[in-house]
Amino acid sequence: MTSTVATESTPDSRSEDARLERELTDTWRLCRGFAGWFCETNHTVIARRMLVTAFVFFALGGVEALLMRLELARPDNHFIGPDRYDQLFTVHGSTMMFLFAVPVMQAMGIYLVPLMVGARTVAFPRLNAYAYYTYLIGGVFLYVSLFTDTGPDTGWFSYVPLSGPQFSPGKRVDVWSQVVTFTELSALSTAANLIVTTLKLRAPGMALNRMPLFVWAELVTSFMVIFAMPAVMLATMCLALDRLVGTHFFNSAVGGDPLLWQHLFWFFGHPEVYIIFLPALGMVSSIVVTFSRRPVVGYLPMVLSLVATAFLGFGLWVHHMFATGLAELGQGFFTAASIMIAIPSGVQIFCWIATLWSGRLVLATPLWFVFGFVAIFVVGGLSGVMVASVPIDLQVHDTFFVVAHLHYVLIGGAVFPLLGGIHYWFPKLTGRMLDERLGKAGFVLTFTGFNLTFFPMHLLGLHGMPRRIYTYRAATGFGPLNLLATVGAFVLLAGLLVVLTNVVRALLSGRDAGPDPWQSDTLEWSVASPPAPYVYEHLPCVAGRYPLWEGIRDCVVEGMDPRQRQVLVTAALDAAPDHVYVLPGPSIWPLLSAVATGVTFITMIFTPWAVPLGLALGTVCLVGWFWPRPPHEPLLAEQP
Amino acid sequence: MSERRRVTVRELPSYAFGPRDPMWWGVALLMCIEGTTIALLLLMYFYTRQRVDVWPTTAPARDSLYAGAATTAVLLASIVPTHLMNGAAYRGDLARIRRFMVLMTALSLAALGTRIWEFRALPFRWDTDAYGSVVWGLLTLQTTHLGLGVIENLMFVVLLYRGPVEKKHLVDVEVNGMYWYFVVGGWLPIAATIYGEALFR
Ligand code: HEM
Ligand SMILES: [Cu+2]
Repeated sequence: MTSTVATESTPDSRSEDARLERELTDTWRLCRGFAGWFCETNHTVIARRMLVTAFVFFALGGVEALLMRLELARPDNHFIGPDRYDQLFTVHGSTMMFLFAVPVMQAMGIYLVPLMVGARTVAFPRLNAYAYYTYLIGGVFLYVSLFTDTGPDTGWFSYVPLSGPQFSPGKRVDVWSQVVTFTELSALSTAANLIVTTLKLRAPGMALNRMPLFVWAELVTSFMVIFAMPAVMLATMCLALDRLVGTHFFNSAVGGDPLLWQHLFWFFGHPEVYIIFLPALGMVSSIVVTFSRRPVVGYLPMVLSLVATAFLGFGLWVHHMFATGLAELGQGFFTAASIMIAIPSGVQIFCWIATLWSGRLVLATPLWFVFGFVAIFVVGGLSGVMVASVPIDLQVHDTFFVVAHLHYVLIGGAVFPLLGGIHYWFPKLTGRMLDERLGKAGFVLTFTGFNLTFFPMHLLGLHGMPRRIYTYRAATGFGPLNLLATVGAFVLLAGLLVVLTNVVRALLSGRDAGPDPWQSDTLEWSVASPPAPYVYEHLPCVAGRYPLWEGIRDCVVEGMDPRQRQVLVTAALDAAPDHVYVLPGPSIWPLLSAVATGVTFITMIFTPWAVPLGLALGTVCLVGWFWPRPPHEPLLAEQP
Repeated sequence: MSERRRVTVRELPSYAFGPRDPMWWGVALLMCIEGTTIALLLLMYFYTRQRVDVWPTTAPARDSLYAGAATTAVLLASIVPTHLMNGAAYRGDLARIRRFMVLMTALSLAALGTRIWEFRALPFRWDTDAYGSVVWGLLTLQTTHLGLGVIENLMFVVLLYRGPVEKKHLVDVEVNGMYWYFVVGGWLPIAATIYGEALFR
């Protein structure tokens, strides 16, 4: 199937290329007008919307954080008060975990994975749009509730019995459980999409062992989503049923068990941390390789570490429950497992250091964020190993030590790499360069601000300051360190505002980026910035791990029909071409289906009639979604 | 002048069965998600069980056993037309696909019928106690899988008779068959758990 021919750039071949481009543009044209906005299914458009939405939620979560920090800045402060403070930390935690961290990582995946594997788009563009809208509806619902004083107030893991019907009457917890269900539905759809895109749409020649590490990270993460998210969906469903129709899953009076909630929640909750963190590791790998100008040291150990982390990540959940009085043996086991997971993370850190050490470093802003990540994450990892041991955990459980630990891991492990990734891929997404001086200033400020905010919290925790308190007495002596943390939070805010300014300035008047401003190795840098809706004029084929450093333009796929939305399906392992598949175009049904999902879930809070309603709406949507398109393919000979 | 390697895909087919097809993977992942949910709910059943002295707190009545057995029988029977339908799909034999699809859909509707009987035969409600909640939970979960399968089957019947039937629909028929296997397969451990206990006490 492969042939070598000599080609020359003749007038003939140039007009051929122009025609190809015209036809592709026509076929993959984006929807226009107001209505078109709601029908669009192009993956770069949807991913951009996901990214913007996720950062809006990051900003909202950040405002809540600042309000909390203001409240805690000095002793005996009453400007927020207990009820509002409860809503603030709950909505902050839930926003950051469910509406920011997971979606933002998936959005990066949806944007970049198809480009990196040499595909025109994702495997299921409509499902992608559906996932986005469900996520959006869930997030808006949470904030409408917060602003109408029905914001959830039982913490981001809403333990029963506090969140059960007896101690939390009203609708607040119902809002929380439905929001979680929305976001998990969205995350599951996106994960399935990413897995199939990665396994079936890779460019010919990109065998699994040639996939970029970022793609590996997204793939492994998506599998974790598939097996972790059902646990929390089931848990929130059961909670909703306990609250709404009187089941007794968690009611100890008639055989249920509150601890069952904790098991289910953390069976999801611990993997969740890795779901947020593994894609960030993938971004770090991309950045490290590009800016040290050499192949990564230890590709295979890196991949194996990702996979090992995923497996181990499912065996740790009980370390969140050490304070519940478990059997000794269980405690020993989960302590060992929790410490063991430091090994694969350590392997990756050493591989990066070796790569950087032996490379020719280009000290651009993305790399600075990577350095920041390594520093912060190591501290977070160390406090993690500390709380993995039961005696220490019993001391610091539910104190600010845990708050410090979790922010070191989540912000250090995910937000810093993400900011690095944003600086790295911004030219690809927009076609504009960010300013390096502002970028580095942004890094210095965020790094300083972050440590000023969260390092004191370790000490506060060790001194016994509990988490989730809205104020404290002056006699406790917690005042000065809290003030320091609040000042730090504003420095962090300043840093993030510098990053934002940089972005806005670049959008308005940034330097033109061109396709490959960093001389990177992976395929996404071979196409225009931003990519055309069809992404690749000629689908690429690859023969190594670093296609752009190995001369990718020497090999192209030919014979795709530019007049149809065709994608090339390849074999899952070795990416040999298999068949050519035609994708459906834009459609309003993903949006309508998401609205139907939203109406059903929200009505469920008020009446069980939501079930038949949902059934009816769901059927209509299924039929609409799968309504046969006008045939463009060979028909079966025998027809009605 | 440059050397360019070319990979020609002009001759490739426009569809393929089994794991070669993206939709097959999509549905396989859906099965992973739903399968995990079933497994977790079964774990909840056994978790709750070890905390309660008398289990089942209210034994399923004789009628329940008949109803459960009926559902199981109907679902197992539906495997036969599903298997034959897949075979017909590989051969592109539209007439046989239609016949078996109708048969399979009829059986899936029958299973929905016996499922209603099952619910009505249970001698306890979801709000009786934790045992009641988890049994109703298991049955409801499986009913959603069953219901989704039934809706899909009905859509296929309409498509196959109204047309136009394209070749790639053959793959969709196969994938639908695979999902149906999952519906049946997912039911067996649930049935064994709910009714087995009452049977062998
Ligand atoms: C941007 C700067 C941030 C600041 C200043 C901040 C600050 C805080 C504060 C003050 C609390 C409440 C402590 C308490 O009273 O118990 C908190 C809780 C929390 N934060 Fe953040 N946070 C930030 C970013 C993030 C990010 C990016 C994430 C996740 C990706 C996150 C996840 C959480 C979680 C899960 C909780 C626990 C909520 C609960 O107790 O239910 N935070 N944060
Ligand atoms: Cu954990």
